[in-house]
Parts: sequence; structure tokens; C-alpha cells
Amino acid sequence: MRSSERHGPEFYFALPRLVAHLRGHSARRTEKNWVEANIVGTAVMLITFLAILSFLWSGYRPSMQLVLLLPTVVINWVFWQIVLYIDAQIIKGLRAAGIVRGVSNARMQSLFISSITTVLACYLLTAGPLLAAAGIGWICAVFANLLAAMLLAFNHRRLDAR
Amino acid sequence: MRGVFWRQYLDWALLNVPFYLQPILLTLWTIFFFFFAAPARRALVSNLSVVIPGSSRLANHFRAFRTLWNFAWTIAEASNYKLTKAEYTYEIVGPELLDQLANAAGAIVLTAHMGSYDLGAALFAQKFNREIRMVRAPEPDTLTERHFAASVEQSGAGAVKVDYNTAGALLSFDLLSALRRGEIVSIQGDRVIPGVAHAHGTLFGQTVAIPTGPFTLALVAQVPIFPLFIVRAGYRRYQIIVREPIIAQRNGAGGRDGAVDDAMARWCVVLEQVIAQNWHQWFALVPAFASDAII
Repeated sequence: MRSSERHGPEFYFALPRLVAHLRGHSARRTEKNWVEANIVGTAVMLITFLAILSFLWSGYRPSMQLVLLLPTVVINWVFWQIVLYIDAQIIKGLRAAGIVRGVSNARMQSLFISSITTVLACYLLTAGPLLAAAGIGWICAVFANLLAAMLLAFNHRRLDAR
Repeated sequence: MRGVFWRQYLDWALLNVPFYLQPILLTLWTIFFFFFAAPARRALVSNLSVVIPGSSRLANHFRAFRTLWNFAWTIAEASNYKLTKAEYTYEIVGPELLDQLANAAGAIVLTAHMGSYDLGAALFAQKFNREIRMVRAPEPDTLTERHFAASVEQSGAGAVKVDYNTAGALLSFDLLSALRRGEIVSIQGDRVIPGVAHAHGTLFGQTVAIPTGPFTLALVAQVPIFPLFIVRAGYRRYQIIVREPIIAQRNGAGGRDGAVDDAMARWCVVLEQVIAQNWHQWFALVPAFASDAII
């Protein structure tokens, strides 16, 4: 990973960078941040887990749903393996067509992952109050992150212009 | 579970999966291997019952999971360093000893199947600008072996060379020449493979087979043995533990065998201390103790 990717305003999680910046701390955050890596990864998995649970087993009795929690974890895991593979093939195709240049595969995957998770979070909005709350939480986090990225990018350009 | 496919998959995942999804996927894969790599799991449980006396079998299954999880992290982080030169931080326990090693005119680094020894070798070669010859047990699968050797040499930017410990005598002469040229040779001293010279040492009150090669080499080449371990200390954080060098020398009537036995006994003491503190990173995926192992 290039250093510009690690430290630039386009960093994966702009929100914690912006918060750190506003609090007067160093906004330089790297992939070495264990908390961010684990929280976001777990949130992605949780949203898909809840969406699969709701999509496949919503008609079952609660006791049966409890039994089906473990298979859901496995389905969730397999789902992501397949999604990541398909995404990789799409990225390969986009590169071959000359559409994507200068962006790493992981970053492109990140775009797909956040889009898919957001779609699933939207699906959760229709699936009962608790699941809807999880969906709203994800959607709010994504928008806050995008907003933070824009603000950081704006700030970065302003500093560059000086 | 031993094919090169898993290593290639890992490389692919590190290049294609964003870093924030890696921890959870890695944990899910560890669960998979915990259930499907049954011989490794059984070996860990059996070894842990000796390392932690009085421990229950159930608790040792959880400990075995933790060890496998650490194993997954260390191989993933070593591959990540190879592929992306990702940043790692490390703390040195015994920095003056590491400096001694870096300035030694020929030395043997004796390590164990613990933490990320390949990442450690690459970091050492980079930090001190020294070449390392790494001797390790051959992989059961030829393609995996080639993949591993290429990975280590790539991580060390050519400063780390891998040799495989086989029954042949040629490697011993080759390593002796390297030591006499002032090179550093890194050997894993906690496990033997069939056909390789070994003697019996004691760990945790049990008999273990320890390779005699490093001690004989040190005696003949008159170089010190530095016990060195690379332990994972957290997310992209490592601890390099260096212990006092062991000098193999003839004294008294014991002769060569006595010198080797003495050095080996001192190595066993160090190894036992380090394993006791870091049992969760001792990747002994085969039975290590005499009651279980084929020695």
C-alpha cells in the first residue's frame, strides 16, 4: 500500500480521522488501528448476517430461528467468499477494459462491499424495528463517513492551495 | 489442508480483501481449520496438556483454538509484509543482545516454531543489513515448500535464503562454510524430522527430541548460539525476544558429546521458559513430547 493511500483524506474511515482532527489530535491514522479494523469488519458481517437471517428464516418459529443461527454464520461466510470472488472478476474485467487505473484491488473491493452492505441495510429497514435500527445505524455511519471524507478532502485541498 | 492452494488463497485475499474485513474472515477461517484440521488440533491439545500441567481437556481445546488463531494471524501478516510491505511495529526484549548478534562474525540463531520467524528474519535482515540463511523442516507438499521459500526470499528482499533440513550431510558442510564466512544461520530447534540427527532433551519434565545439528555446528564453527523468538504482540505488533547466547565448548571429560549435551540442556531451559510464557504461539502442530511423538 502506498503511503498516500494510508495517510491521504481518501482513507477508508474518514469519520474517526475528522473527529481526531476536530479534537486537535493527529488525524494521521493508519491500517494499524486494530479497533477500526475490527469494528467495521464486524459491522459489515453483522448487517449481512441479519439480512440473511431475516431473508431466509423470518417465517420460522423463534426457537427454530435460534437453531438456525449457526448455519446462518456459515451461509454468511460463504456468501462473502463468493461476493469477494465475483467482485475480483469484475475488477479484473474493468482493468482489462481500461476503466479502472491507479486504484488498488482492495479499495475497489471496499467500494463493492460498502455498496452491498448498504443495500442489505436498506432491506433491513423493512424487517422489524430491531433489524431496522441496525440498518439505520449502518446507513447513518456510511453517510457520516462520506461527509467526513468530503470535509477532509476540502480541508486537504485548502491546505495544498496555501 | 497441506496443499499450496491455501497459501495462494491467502495471498489473493490479502491483495483483494480490504484490511477491515480481514480480521473477521481470518477468525472464520480459523474456526474452519479448527474443525477440519483435526490432527493439528489434537497435537496442540496434547502438547498443551504437558505445557500447562493440570489443565482440562476442554480448556485446552479453547487454547488450541487461540493458538490456531495466532498461527493464522502470523502467516497472514508475514504474507502481507511480503506482498504490500505493510508497516509493523516491534519491540525488542534484549536489544543489546540483538546488537551483539548483528555484529557477530558468524552466529546461529536458534528459534522455535513460534510467532512469525519468517517475518522476523526479513525484518532483521532489513534492519541490520545482514544476510540470513534460514534452515527449516521441509513442507510435506513440494509446491507449498517452493511457495514458502519464494515468499521468504521476497520478504527479505533476497537477504534471507531458505535451506531445507533433510537427512543429507551436504547441508551441514554448506552451513559450516557459511558460518566460517561470518554469516548468520537460523535454525528451528524445537522439532526433528525423521532421519535428522537428534538427541533427547527435557521440556516440562518430559522427553523431547531436539536436533543436535545446531549445537554440533556451533561447536565446530566456534560460533555462539542466540536463542531468538518472534512473538506476535497484537495487531501488526511483534516482540523480538533475544536471550543470552549459548556457547558450545568442550570442557572436562565429556568431549564433543558432552559439549553438545550441555548446550542442548541450556537451550531446553530457555525454550521451556519462552513456551511457558507464550504457549498460545507455540505452533507445534505435531505431537512434541515423547509419550505422543514418533522419535
